[in-house]
Amino acid sequence: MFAAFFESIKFVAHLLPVSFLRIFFGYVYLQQAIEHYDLGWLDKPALSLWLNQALLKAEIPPWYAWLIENAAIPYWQQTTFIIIGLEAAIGISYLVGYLVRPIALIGAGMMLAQFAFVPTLDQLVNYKILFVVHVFLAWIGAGRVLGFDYYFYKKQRGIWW
Amino acid sequence: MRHLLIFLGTIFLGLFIILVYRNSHLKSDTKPVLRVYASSSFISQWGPGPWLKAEFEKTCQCKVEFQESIDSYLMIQKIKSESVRGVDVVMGFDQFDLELARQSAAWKKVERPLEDQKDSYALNKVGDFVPYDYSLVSFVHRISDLSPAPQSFQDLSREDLKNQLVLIDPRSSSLGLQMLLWLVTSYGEEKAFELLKSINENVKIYASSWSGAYGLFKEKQAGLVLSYVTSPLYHKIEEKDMGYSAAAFKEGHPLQIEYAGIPEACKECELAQEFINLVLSENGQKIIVQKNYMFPVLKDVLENSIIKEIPPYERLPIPAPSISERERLIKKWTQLRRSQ
Repeated sequence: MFAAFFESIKFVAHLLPVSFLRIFFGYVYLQQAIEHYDLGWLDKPALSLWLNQALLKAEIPPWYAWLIENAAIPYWQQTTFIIIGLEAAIGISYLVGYLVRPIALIGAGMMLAQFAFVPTLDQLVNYKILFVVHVFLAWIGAGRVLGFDYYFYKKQRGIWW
Repeated sequence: MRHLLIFLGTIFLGLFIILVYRNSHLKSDTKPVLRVYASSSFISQWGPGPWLKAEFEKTCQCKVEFQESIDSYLMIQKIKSESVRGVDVVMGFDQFDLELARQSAAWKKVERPLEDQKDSYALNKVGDFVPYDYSLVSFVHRISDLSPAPQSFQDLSREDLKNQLVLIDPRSSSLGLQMLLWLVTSYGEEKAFELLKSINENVKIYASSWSGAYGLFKEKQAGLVLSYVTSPLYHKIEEKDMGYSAAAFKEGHPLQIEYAGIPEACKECELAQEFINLVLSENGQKIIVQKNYMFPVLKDVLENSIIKEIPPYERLPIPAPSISERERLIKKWTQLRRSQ
């Protein structure tokens, strides 16, 4: 039984369900990007309001607060454009399984950045879970199952597929 | 890497093209847009915002667009960061925000119509801001839950009020700051903070805004909330519930006056003045009373409205502190909270 326990690391059939997790996340991210666009985030300073509220939190490191105050808030339109673009990129990448590894690392970076913003423990936990999911998808190369990454992996190999 | 750059480039280029297309499409709609910053309670569907918007849009040949801010302090932060964008009207500063607001942005001179009809309170125009409603601050409770009702700040540290208080964070809300100044004015700074220390023992939560605090109270998460003497009237009219009361404190009650202003960087400055004129008109003031549950600044509207039913409360005048004094008190409050 114990031998089987260690032998089980060779079992790879779970990778197919993981691809569904990836596709689901892709759907959620793409929907979020569309929602932010529809809500007029590029016209209304919704992001800067959110950032201003975040600035009130004592737990934000001073360098990060400085970055928010001097870069993200004054240039909220550009920041929002980048965020919506990245959300759309994560959504499309996860849905079709293309460039999942590098895109998942970008997603993990976005989640890491949000740790400092979150006002409540609940949200903090959510962001941490999302961070772990991105890292997990990058680690296993989730685009190689039910995704275009498999084509490039076969053709080119390398760590990015 | 090449794949990644091409992929990201395509996504951002696509988004950029969509934006350019949409903006050129929007330009064909020539109606000017009046951007109004206001608190969430003002622009919510049960607040006065949508009513004033509908009334204004009937005649202005324009569109009114509300921008939400949870509290006036956050509104100042927002204006500070976006002054170049051109906000047209800001609603909801109170008398303690004005100095900070002036420091954060330049403001236009606001004309006040019907000057002679101002209410008995001394609500004169303060330079570049114009008052549009007011109320005394108090603690609101369900009559059945608290017996006897607290009659002073000392009563707030009563044992039976353990976990019953919802107060408001003075760092994020001007109403929260009002309570702190109320205590300091009534008892002197040293005694006020001693009293606050014992009151904090009974606090269930410090909410970041009035709407957050009142929401918790309405959900029966607490028995007493920092609010206005006019709040029980809301329950009476909207919910047909007479079971709410605003405590009468022997220390007296601070007055909160709400102001409107037009930033110098406004885009639709004339429409902004017209919108303020509407808010200060008889019709606008009636909407304020019926939807905001605050006292109107027009005497005639007050005389003929249900808000006149509210019993008189003793007023405690509180001088507006300087910005440095305000920051010092808030810092002291934060230290007290952290030490508990």
